[in-house]
Amino acid sequence: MPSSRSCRQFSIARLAAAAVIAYAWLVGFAVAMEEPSPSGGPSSADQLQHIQPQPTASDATAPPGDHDHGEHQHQEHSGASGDDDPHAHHKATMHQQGYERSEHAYRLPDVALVGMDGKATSLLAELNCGKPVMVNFVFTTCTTICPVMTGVFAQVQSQLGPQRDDVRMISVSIDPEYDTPERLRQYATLFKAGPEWRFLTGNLDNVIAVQKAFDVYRGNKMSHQPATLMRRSDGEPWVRLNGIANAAEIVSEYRALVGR
Amino acid sequence: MDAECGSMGPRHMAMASFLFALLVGSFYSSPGLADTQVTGTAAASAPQQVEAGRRMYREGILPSSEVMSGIVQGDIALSGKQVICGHCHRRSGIGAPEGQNVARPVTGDVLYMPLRLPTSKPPLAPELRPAYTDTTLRRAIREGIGADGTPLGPLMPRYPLSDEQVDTLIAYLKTLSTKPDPGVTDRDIHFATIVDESVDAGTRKAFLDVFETYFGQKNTETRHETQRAEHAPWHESWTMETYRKWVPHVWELKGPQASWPEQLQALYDRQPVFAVVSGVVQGSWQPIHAFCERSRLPCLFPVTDLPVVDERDFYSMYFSRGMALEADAIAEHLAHSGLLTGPLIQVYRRGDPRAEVAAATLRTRIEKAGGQLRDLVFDGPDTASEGFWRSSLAAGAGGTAVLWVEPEALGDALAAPGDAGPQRIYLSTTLYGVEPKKIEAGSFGRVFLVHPQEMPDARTVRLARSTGWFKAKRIYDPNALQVQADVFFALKIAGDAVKTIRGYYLRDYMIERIEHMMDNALYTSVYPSVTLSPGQRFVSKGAYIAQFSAQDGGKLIAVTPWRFPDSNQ
Repeated sequence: MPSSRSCRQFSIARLAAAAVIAYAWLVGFAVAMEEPSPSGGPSSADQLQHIQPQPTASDATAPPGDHDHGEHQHQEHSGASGDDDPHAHHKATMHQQGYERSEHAYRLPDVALVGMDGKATSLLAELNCGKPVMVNFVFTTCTTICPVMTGVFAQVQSQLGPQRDDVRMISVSIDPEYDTPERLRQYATLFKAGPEWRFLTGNLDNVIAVQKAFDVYRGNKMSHQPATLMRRSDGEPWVRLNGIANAAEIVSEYRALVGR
Repeated sequence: MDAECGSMGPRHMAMASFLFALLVGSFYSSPGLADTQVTGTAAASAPQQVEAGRRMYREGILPSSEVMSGIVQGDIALSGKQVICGHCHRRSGIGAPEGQNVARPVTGDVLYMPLRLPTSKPPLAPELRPAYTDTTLRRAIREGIGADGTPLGPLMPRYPLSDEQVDTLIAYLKTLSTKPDPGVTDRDIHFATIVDESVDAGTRKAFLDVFETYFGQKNTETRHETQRAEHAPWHESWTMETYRKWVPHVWELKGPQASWPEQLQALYDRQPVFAVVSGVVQGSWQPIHAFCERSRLPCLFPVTDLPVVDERDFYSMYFSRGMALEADAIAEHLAHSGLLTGPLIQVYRRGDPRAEVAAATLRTRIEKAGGQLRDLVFDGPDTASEGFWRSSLAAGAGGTAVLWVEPEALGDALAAPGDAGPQRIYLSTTLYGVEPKKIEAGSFGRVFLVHPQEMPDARTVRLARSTGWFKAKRIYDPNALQVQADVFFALKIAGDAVKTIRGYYLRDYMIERIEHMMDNALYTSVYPSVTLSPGQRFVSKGAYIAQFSAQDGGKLIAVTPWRFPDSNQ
């Protein structure tokens, strides 16, 4: 009966294929761990002048720390630790992420935007303010990285103390459809933003134009990648910190940049 | 593989999504929908403890009523809303990716099992992460150390919790998403749509034609999906075995709205459905919204201008804020023109639910801005008298009049030449339509229309694909094109969402996936832009202000960009 034979042949072929695929899959899986990713990082290589990359802890081969966490995993909550800073161990275990620093000369369009006071402004009017600027991109309903990035900016302000008003901080919403000026004001209040920290929105096209100019546009807000950008003054290059740098790292990059 | 909630470098982006897919596939992929197997080491916890854990997970509130706090990224102390577990790991506990950052599943069933590639039969795939125990899970939450001893990602907060507090949270995790939601069997998945008997026959037919044709097409099994699900090879079972036939139900509502909750409950009890997809009723969607919230039943994208505008609710998702959005858009336009504080009148028919919602919203906005708005209300089924309009327009003389009316009610009020009365008149295209009808060309300059969807020309292009499908299926109804386009879009989104949740037949997870996938939707609607995010419930947030063009034979032309007005919320 030809139909039954072809059926059996089919089954055998299928089994064999399954085995091959499964093997390839598991092997490929191991290989994938070693392969550099084709995506990620700034794509405008023409503008990129890569300097001094920091070690990134997302690098799987990097040691997670210089000690074995297992050794003191229960110290923290036994009260036996004599540390002044009760979070010292937490911080140590977390200081693994790092970030990647690069410099760029972005060509920025002077597109119209809207401030969180609801008033019209423009990108260059906000940036060319006679002060150093720091820029990031967030949206208020983002659950994962924006609260952290915004928390980092808040922490940067408090670490700068009285110097916080020497730097203009700008958070551009990448969800202008939802992030109306009123919602941005609420968000700013939540994070106790100082007067020099401004949240901007605008129409969809303009907000995309700003993201593209800074090479942070990733198609839609759910593909959001964290980056912090800073510049000493108008006409000078931008320092880009890819990844989520913590507040101390941003403050130290900022101090190095402005020489204070 | 070290992070439950970690930030991965670019090199591991692919890995992250791959692993995420594996985890998603692993849960319910064993043959059939096995009922919950309680995993972990602890015995069942007291309901009060689970409830206290739920408050920690979902609201960030400790049993002592204090707010939770945590440290992220080494030096950022966050508290309250920013460190709520459920924000990142979501209500379902299945987690979510955002860019390269992945919040891993934290349900007890996943945590207390070793993490490995899901296979239905031996051999087992290699272990990627050992199973958590109560001890290692406590350590993970408090100190950020994973089951294998390596640190979790820096985005995962380290929570300073006492033994009792952390155990309370863990007790809740063990109950989280342990079994599939109702409406799914090992062969079928049930969906309902809702139609109210007072919907006119033409609209009803146009609507149901799309709904039923779509289900027919969905179940044609072009690749013998049912057989594949039953005889999947081991390496593919985790995707193939999740196939289900789609079973449609049309829930017909009769009589007054007050009786709907009871009818809905009876229909649901007869055959529970996994979700309600689209729906069309006369009047407010509120009774259905309330039922869906109460029953924890996703109600996706009904055809309505009267949704419940409350984004604290979870299970109801809408196209737009409807009439409330239109009022907000007019308020915004008035504010831009410096006219928000008047003089202002608005006109509507008593008992017209759409007009009344719009009028109430506008009143709130105007009052908030310190202005005064005078309501002129007429009775009667359709037509306001000539005398009514004469006195109303005189009342708005020199100011602004917002007319929440249909063309029949406006009658000849603006048919005669002359510019007596209000300097500016607003209409809603939802109520009035997109043609001038009897409005005389001399009035075009002062008439503005709020238009909460794509402009007519561009809309035709936007709907070309769905219109083509309706025509091919011989169900195209040009008089109910928006209704057809809306139900088609809702079905496409539901179809993609079910595909994305794979074996995880959890309603919460389906909603979470829709929040994440909307921005990537490959199909178009009557709206220029559709977007969602966690907690957002209205995919289209904008409106145009338009005018009739005297040069172009009364064609509707946008005079503002697609703008996103502030809402009252």
